Amino acid sequence: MSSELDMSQYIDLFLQEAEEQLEILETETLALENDPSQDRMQIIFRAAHTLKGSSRAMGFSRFAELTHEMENVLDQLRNDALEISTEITDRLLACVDTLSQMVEQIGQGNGDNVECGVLVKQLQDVLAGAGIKVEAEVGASAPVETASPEPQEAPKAEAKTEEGFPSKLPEELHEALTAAAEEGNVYHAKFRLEAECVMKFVRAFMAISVIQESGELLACVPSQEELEEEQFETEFELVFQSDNDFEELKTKLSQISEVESAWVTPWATPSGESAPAEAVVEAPEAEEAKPEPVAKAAPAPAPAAAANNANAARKADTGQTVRVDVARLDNLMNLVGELVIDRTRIAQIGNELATNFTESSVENLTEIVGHIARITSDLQDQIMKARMLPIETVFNRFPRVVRDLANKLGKDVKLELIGGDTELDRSVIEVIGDPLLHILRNSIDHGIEMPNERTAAGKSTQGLVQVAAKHEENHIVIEIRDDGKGIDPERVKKKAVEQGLISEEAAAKVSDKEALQFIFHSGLSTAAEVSEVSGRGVGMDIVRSNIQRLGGIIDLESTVGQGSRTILRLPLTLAIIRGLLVNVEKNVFVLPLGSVVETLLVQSEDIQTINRKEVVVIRGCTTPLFRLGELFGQGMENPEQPADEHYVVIVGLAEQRLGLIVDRLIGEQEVVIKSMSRFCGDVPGISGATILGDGNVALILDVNGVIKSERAA
Amino acid sequence: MSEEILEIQSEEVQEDRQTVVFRLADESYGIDIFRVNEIIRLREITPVPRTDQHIRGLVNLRGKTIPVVDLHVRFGSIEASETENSRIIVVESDNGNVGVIVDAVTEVMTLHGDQIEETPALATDESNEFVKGVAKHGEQLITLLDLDKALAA
Repeated sequence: MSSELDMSQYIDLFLQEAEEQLEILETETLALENDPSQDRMQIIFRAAHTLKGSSRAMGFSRFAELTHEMENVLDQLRNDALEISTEITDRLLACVDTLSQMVEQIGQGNGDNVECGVLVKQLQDVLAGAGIKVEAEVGASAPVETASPEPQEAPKAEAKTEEGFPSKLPEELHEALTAAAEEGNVYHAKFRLEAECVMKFVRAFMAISVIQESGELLACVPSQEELEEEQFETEFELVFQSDNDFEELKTKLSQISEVESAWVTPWATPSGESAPAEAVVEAPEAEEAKPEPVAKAAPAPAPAAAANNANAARKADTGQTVRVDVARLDNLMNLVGELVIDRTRIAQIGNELATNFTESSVENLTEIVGHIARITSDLQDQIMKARMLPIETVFNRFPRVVRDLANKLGKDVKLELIGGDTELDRSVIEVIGDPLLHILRNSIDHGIEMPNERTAAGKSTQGLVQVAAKHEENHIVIEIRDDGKGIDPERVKKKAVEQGLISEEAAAKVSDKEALQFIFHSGLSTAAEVSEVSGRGVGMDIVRSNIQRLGGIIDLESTVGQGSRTILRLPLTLAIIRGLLVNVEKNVFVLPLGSVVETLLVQSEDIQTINRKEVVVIRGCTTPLFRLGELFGQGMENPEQPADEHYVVIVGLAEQRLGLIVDRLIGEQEVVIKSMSRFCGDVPGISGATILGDGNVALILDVNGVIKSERAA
Repeated sequence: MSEEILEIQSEEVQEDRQTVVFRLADESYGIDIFRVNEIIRLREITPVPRTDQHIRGLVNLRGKTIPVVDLHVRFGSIEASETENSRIIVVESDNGNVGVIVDAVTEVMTLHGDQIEETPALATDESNEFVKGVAKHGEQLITLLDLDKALAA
């Protein structure tokens, strides 16, 4: 059995846990201001406590020191010895920021090398200010505490004379262990973890690492592998040799967080009577048969029970989930992509065979092909779902930003997040955060008025910003709405004229809705003054190009005095898209269905020209036309198509619509996006390639790029 | 041919080099076998608009798309005429795998350092810049391509 455990192996585990706990800390601390309930305090306290425990085990002393101070403050809050205030919240949030930085540094292999002395001092001042004395930490790396500073952990070690649970050590080991015991101090430790302990292995590992500080692990049940895979309930046993002081060992082992009880005895064959010299260390919680220390600290039993329930629910959740490396999911996705391509090819060959032959084997083939098609679709669906994350992961960043921004600007803003459980592919999640944040900042900075202005306008002083996500067919629709002052189209026009985006005469003809589109031009900002937050006029154009790169559509509505509404329509995934296949000369192009609005057959005489550009009027809307053949073809005539009829695909490009003339419509199909080889460079108008059912390569059009390059030309 | 250059050349090519020899128009060319991933038959090429003319387009290589380059165009002559013997040599480049259309792949040849000479001075046309050297194999002259230059944009 290998007894050497390398810390670096567990860094990832630590980081994962830390990120989760920090997120809890941040969200709950933010919520604390509005709802300082015992329940919430408890959750925050536990998060800080868990962080302290695991960082200590990993030897990150600064991290542990800071969390320890946070824990002290939180404990006083929890016990009502301290009143929650904006100042305290600010400091706690600053701690969370620093801890996040540490996590980042640790992730980069730099250790917890972030200065936190000031914060530690501030937290201590908070307590000193309230006249609360907390014993100084003896030293994070050597947690030998005679009287533990944490009240909740106070009578940490307590001698008991029972043996704990029956040993499961295999008998064939007994002899060897007894032999080892004759040569040195061999101890037998039994641990029982709290029922809702989330990362059981980490706790076991912490115990093992304590042992390895001063001795050698001889045996463990279940095996180290099983421990690593968390294949155990709550109990595990370790037999080890150690030259360390017995009492000290007991203390250290019993201090591992989320360990309900720990029994340490000198080695004795478990089948016999328990040795008289046996000493048992037990965490006090176990004695009361309440696995949650909450119950002791919380004056009211009700919230504690609630917390227990919540924890139980969480345990049930974690029991059925597995963490999977994203790269693996991406790989799976690629493989399924290949499968989808082959499925389409087999189906095509099947069809060809079916038209040429009538044997029953061909019929069988068709049937099997149908079955395979169904299975691959399901498989694809399932893997897509596995890659889905709730948009909450993006939303979670918002409350903090809104709070900080509103405070800085002196505005009163309420943020409402709706539909956080709406799921979408992580590839999309990764990229929508920043655009959303930008729009949100705009809403608060430009949209929501100062409280006195709001009162003057007859509104409540508190502004409302709402972010709502929902599924709509194969898309996700995110709406950011505020009840601020709205965008004045006249001012936008004036700005646009000033910036030379449009002539004064043209501006006069522009409708209000069209005027708003100038917001998306670079260099245009209607903010009277440039603030630190926004107003530099870089932004909305970047937002738009980001959204377009995702194949999304962005729309903006605003009513002066009542507020603005930004609507984003995004595909659920970036890996596979539904596309409309069209023919241009002899080549096939794929138009992402997300940007296709409709398809039409247009008569030649209906095509008019304005300024030598072709347009067609659809239901009263003048829509510019582009001939794909001219843009992308080799200038060949299409003999199949009568010259007086044209297939037109109307596409939505962000806020505008335009028509693309193609030679023929082929149909809808799911296509797997393959990135273009770097060798070809950045091809304007082409976003990628895909492989069709017949094995040929088709290019995927980037509608935005087509238009851009056309305008530039 | 100066002695000095010959020396440098032979230093570079101390060991015998396995070279893939192919035909382009009426000439024989060679590329180091270590750069060659595989040789495939000509297949449907999807043209990519708005790219350099020598990039013929994309082909499907077992579910991946790779760009294909026409060296005829690169060397300043007309496009390759495709025949039964035409092949695509898939080579590694700094920008991933790239296919090179050739009229035929003739053989894999072992070239010794002393067989390789500097490019004849009279070859001053455009294609010269892509040439590393010329190998003599019996009566046959094989132009050794500088693949990186030939594939660079």
